[in-house]
Amino acid sequence: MEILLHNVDLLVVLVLLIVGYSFGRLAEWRHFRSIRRREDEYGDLIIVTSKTPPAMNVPPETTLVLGSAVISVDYFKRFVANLRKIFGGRLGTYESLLDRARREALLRMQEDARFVGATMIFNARFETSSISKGAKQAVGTIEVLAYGTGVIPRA
Amino acid sequence: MVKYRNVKVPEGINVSRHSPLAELVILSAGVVALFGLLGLAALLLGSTLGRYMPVSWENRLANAVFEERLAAQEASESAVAVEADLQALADRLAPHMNLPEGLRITVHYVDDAAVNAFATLGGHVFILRGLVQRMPDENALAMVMAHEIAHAGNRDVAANLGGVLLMQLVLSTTFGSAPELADQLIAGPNSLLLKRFGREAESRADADGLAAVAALYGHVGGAATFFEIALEQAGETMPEEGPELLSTHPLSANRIAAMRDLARQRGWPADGERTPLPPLLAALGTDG
Repeated sequence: MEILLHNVDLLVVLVLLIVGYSFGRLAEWRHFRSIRRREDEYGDLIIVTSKTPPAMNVPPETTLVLGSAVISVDYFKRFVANLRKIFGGRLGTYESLLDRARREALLRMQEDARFVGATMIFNARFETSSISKGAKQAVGTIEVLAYGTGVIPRA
Repeated sequence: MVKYRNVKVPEGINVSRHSPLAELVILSAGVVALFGLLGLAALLLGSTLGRYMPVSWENRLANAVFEERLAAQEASESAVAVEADLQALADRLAPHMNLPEGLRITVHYVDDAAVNAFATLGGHVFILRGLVQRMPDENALAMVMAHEIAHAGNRDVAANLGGVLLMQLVLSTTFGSAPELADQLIAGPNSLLLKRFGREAESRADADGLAAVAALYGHVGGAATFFEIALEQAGETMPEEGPELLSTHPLSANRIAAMRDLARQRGWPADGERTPLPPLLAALGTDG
């Protein structure tokens, strides 16, 4: 205990780790639950990667649909990832984060598609970009953008 | 016509299933072990380099650090005379000590009440007033001085300095932004090892010093006086002794016993005619 009192930096790191871990875990658990629920909800809104729309009797209307999610790592994940960088291997703490971001972006794209009345999205693509790039001490933040062409059928 | 459908991707394909806490513990342990070993290697390498560096280098280093400062210090006439007496004693002991070539012992007298003496780089030995005042005869003083000369002769100071410097260098390079944390995590445990080296060096210096005293006086009477005082005065004028594991020096009682055993093994007489202190040194005791 004394070693902590004499070492405020160490204490700060420990507190940040605990805060990062508990809040990060809670947020992740909630987010995954919401993702699974909405994936069921939007399951019938087809997403495909083919470049051309399927042949239809009446040519459909098409429009751009997109969904984007911005996520930031928490202190705990970054700490573990930094340690992992020394030895190499899977950055497990980042994997769940990126999985959430990809799925969230897809869901938001589907939400957008449903809003405009599309029944299907073709030519779906992902873009990712780091918005903290270059800033040395900044917390890693990444944007995942999902976009595609929404197919709005005409009667 | 093509049939399209969304298939749910099973969980756990894109995400590794493992406990992040366990990962943290394993990785942290790995990092501490890795840098601990690195620090240890630096410590060992540095102390070996220090111990075996040419005496002329050590002298040059000492010159750069001390000589100018020591020359600038103004000493009273009586202090100079006391220093000359102490130097004379060192010069009588040195031939019995197998010192490396080129190492010259220079004794400095420090007007301070603490009961202490120490050796530093380049064969500089410091004797404090408080120590001389407590010594009943020359034999007792000679043992302390021979012990310090032995440290210089065994290159203990250079080894210690080399080890600590290299370890700090390696740790501050790798942990540039968190030197204190590195110190706690890595230098801390290694310092136990440093202390162990310290105790070994002390025991060696005791043995070498005792041999020199036996050669000079023909017996080892009075050699244990300093440690007897240390035992008696623990917590008063001398620091209290903690557990040996955490100490840079072996416990006084153990040192007295080790010296007695060594004298018996080598057949040195346990006591004999004591040589009185030179008048100037003896006079220090009365005005203290």
